[in-house]
Amino acid sequence: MGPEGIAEAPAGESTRDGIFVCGSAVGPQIIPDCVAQASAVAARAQLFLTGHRVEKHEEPVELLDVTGKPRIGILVCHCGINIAGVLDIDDLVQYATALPDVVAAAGSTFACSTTGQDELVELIREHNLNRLVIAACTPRTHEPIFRETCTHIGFNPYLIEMVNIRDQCSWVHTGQPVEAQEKARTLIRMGVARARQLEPLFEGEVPMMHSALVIGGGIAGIQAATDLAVQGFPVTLVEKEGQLGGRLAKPHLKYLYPNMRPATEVLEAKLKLLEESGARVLLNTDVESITGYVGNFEANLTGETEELLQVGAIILAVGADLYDPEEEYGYSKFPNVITSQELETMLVEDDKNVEIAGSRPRSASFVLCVGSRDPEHFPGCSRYCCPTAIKQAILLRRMGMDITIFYRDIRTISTGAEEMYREARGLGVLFIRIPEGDKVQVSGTDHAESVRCFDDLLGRHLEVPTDLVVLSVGMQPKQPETSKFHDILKVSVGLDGFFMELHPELGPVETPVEGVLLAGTAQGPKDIVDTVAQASAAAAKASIFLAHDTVSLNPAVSEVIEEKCRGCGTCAEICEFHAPALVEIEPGTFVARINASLCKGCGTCTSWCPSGAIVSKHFTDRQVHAMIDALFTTETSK
Amino acid sequence: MKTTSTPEIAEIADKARAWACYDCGKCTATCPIARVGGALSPRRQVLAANLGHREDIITNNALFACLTCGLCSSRCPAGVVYCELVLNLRQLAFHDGVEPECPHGGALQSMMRMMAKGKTKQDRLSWLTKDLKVQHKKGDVFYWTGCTMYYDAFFPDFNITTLDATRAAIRVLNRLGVTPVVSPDERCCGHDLLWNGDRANFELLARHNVKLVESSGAKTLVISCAECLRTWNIDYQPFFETSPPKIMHITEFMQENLDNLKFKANKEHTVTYQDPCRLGRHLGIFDPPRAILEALPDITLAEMPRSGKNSICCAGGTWSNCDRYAKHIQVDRLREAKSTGAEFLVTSCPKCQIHFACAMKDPNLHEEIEIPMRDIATLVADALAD
Repeated sequence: MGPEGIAEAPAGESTRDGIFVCGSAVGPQIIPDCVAQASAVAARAQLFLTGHRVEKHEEPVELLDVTGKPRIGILVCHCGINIAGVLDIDDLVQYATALPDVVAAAGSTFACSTTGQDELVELIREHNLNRLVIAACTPRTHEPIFRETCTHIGFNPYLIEMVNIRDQCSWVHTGQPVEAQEKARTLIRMGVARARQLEPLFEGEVPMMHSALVIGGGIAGIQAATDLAVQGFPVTLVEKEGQLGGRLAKPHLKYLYPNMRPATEVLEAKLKLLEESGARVLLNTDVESITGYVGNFEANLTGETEELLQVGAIILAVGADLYDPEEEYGYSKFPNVITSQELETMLVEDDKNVEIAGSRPRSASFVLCVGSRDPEHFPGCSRYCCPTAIKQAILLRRMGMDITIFYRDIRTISTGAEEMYREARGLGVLFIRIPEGDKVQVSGTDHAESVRCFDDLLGRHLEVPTDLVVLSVGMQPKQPETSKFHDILKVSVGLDGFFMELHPELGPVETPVEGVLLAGTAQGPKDIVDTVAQASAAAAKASIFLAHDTVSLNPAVSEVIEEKCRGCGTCAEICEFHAPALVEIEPGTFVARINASLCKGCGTCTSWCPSGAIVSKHFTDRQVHAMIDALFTTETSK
Repeated sequence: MKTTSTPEIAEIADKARAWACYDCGKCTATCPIARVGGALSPRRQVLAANLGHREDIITNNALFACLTCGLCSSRCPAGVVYCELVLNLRQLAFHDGVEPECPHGGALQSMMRMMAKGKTKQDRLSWLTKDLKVQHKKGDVFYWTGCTMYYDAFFPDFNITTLDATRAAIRVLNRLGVTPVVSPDERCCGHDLLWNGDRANFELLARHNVKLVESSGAKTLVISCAECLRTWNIDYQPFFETSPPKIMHITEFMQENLDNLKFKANKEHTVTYQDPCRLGRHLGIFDPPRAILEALPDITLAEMPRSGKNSICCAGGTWSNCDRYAKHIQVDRLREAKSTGAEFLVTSCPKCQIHFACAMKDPNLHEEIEIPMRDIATLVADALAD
């Protein structure tokens, strides 16, 4: 344990082999970081379990007969007091019972609990149901649970309709219980109407390639490739430059905070593990294009190595760029205004002595948040700059310089950074807060002589003479890589320009494109510790795909009724995921076909198709119309 | 829900002379859909109607696959009125809850039904330009605009303006000294609803429109759209309470007044003419458009091999049937039009233009089938001497 009584395990590994620590036990952290770190730890644990593969061990279940007239069952969930605190569950059960084709309705304290699931199975069996409506919470998180339970007993999982009476009723209308009740009744009525039209669907399967491609040879790529390769998955790591290491490699980084471990040492250790892992490393090689889908991607590699590489999963670890201050703060004008990266390079050469234009500065000023927390450039926090500036300030202070740090807020989120901050203050580093919306002014004639800033507490301007100005530059999306892979893989990019994860808590390293995962700063600014954790998490998530022999295909996708297709190509033109394509079925006659592996079932093509030739399975026009019709009729009699 | 009984089918079959069928199969051999591989056999439908089994005719897709173009009837030696049979069977089907899958998500049908309910205020006449002289309530001549203003709003990316034909028709009427009634309260004629089986909404529209024209005091009703014309001429007849006005297609009206139209010399053009099935085979109006084209200076008509009574439909008449076979028919027809060497494909129905324009958007065929289209009234208006 560390001095604060918290486990000392920055990357999840403890001092004992085979024992791992994650989450807040390592240090205070927010949920997305906890989830990423937990995945990372799982990846590490897998190293001890090498050779593990997922085998299908499901015993074949006899499918229940779901044909015939709809026999609908409804389960209304209390969700403890989440729903029952606002809505009258008994009333909803009674209301649902009276709806057409409903043969059973019941309440459940927690439908998603083991007991709730047992009740559900009992309900299906007792009443010989062939449709199920669950009035509870959001399908986004809970539909998989209900689907799995139903699959186990042979009830087709696509015959379930979830009605969200929690988020859409009890939560948003807490103060209007009467109206919330009415809305819940309406939503249930609509859900029953749709359930009546549901059709059983069956998942398809395609073979899974067990190999992976890691794009980018920085610390994230190295870590992800190593973690996958040691598990026995064939891994190719592609780096477009001539060396591995990214920002960790010479001459970019001297010491890593908070332990002041030399970057070269860490990198060497990481590279040694990479080499031992057996991952294939391709330098001076670029990824020109990628086609395919999870389990069956094909990447066209160009450069020193040219080949068509087939892989099952892809990890994007393209890194980030650093902000270029250009004209700001006299950066392009004064030789003694440098970026934090340039200072680091100087420290790589000599960490006892810093010289600017032949002379040793006696004082230095750091300006924080350059290019970060700035609506014009990057509105977010770059996370690594506060601790880095403090680390650099301590080094310069130890050389005898007077140090002033101009900051907006000091954010020492990572483990050990707050201690470093305290140390810097103890060493006499001055911290001056830049007021909200204000900027410091760097002035001088042929070189920067002072930094001027308004001090809110003193109520006046301060002018700090200085020999050196260090601009702590933030991170920016790596270009052109980010745009390029956004285009070819259709991985979403957030408003900040970085690749966007599927969900901050539920899928922090996943993307909406199955089999494509994110590692490191490609997803947003982070420091080395978080990058390493996230890369391991990406590897762990990739191995979940790679450990399977087949990929199951979501059956709730779009399908072309070829007889109705006019071959106009609109669907192929508008699909973000390149799922539809025109095929010549007889000379001069083209029809669209949709690759079910690429289709996300979003329904865009369905709504654009002029002739109505595309059906969104599980969201058919018939099902949606039934819901709309039910919305506008209030009759409940059978 | 009411289920169709065999006697009802028998009555419809009887009215359409299905009993006269002697199974020669000319209809199926002629059918444009059957020729391109679609699952439609008029012969089979006629036989099924005679046998009267509901499943055979009501719930089978062939009922809505028919273009109702009337080509089969024109060849039938026994005089079976196939379109009549389809029209009435579709009403039975609609009654039983069987509807065609409508393209464009059924949006056009929704518009028609909104007009039938009549609670939505229309902005129907904002396309009228200052040079066009019209009146809104009463007059001797009522000009029926049809729904071109809706089509242009609905298909903005087709590079066609069906309203051009509407404006051109008024320009020609004005030149003939006519200030027609153009009513802001006109509603969809209901043609497409009727042909898709929705008789109830059709009747709402019919009653409103007949009353509107009757109250204008018009002696003559001039119509450009071939489908509106068929509807007024045939399907609206039972709704008139007074004696109906003289109902004329714009080309008939122009033909009658040809002597009063002065044309200027124009650039020479070769054009070909697409007979709309409603105007041609349904109403027998083949000659007036040709007489107009003949009268225009410098315009030469190059007929397609299949023209007049043998003309092939644009394959999209009632905003249904939009599929692979319709596209095939359209592409074939456009190739036929191009083979005449014509610079323009002239027609006198806005829907012909829309459906051919849609076919021309094909990503693979381009110039093989692309041909500029004109409504006949725009040719006339452009040729008017100053």
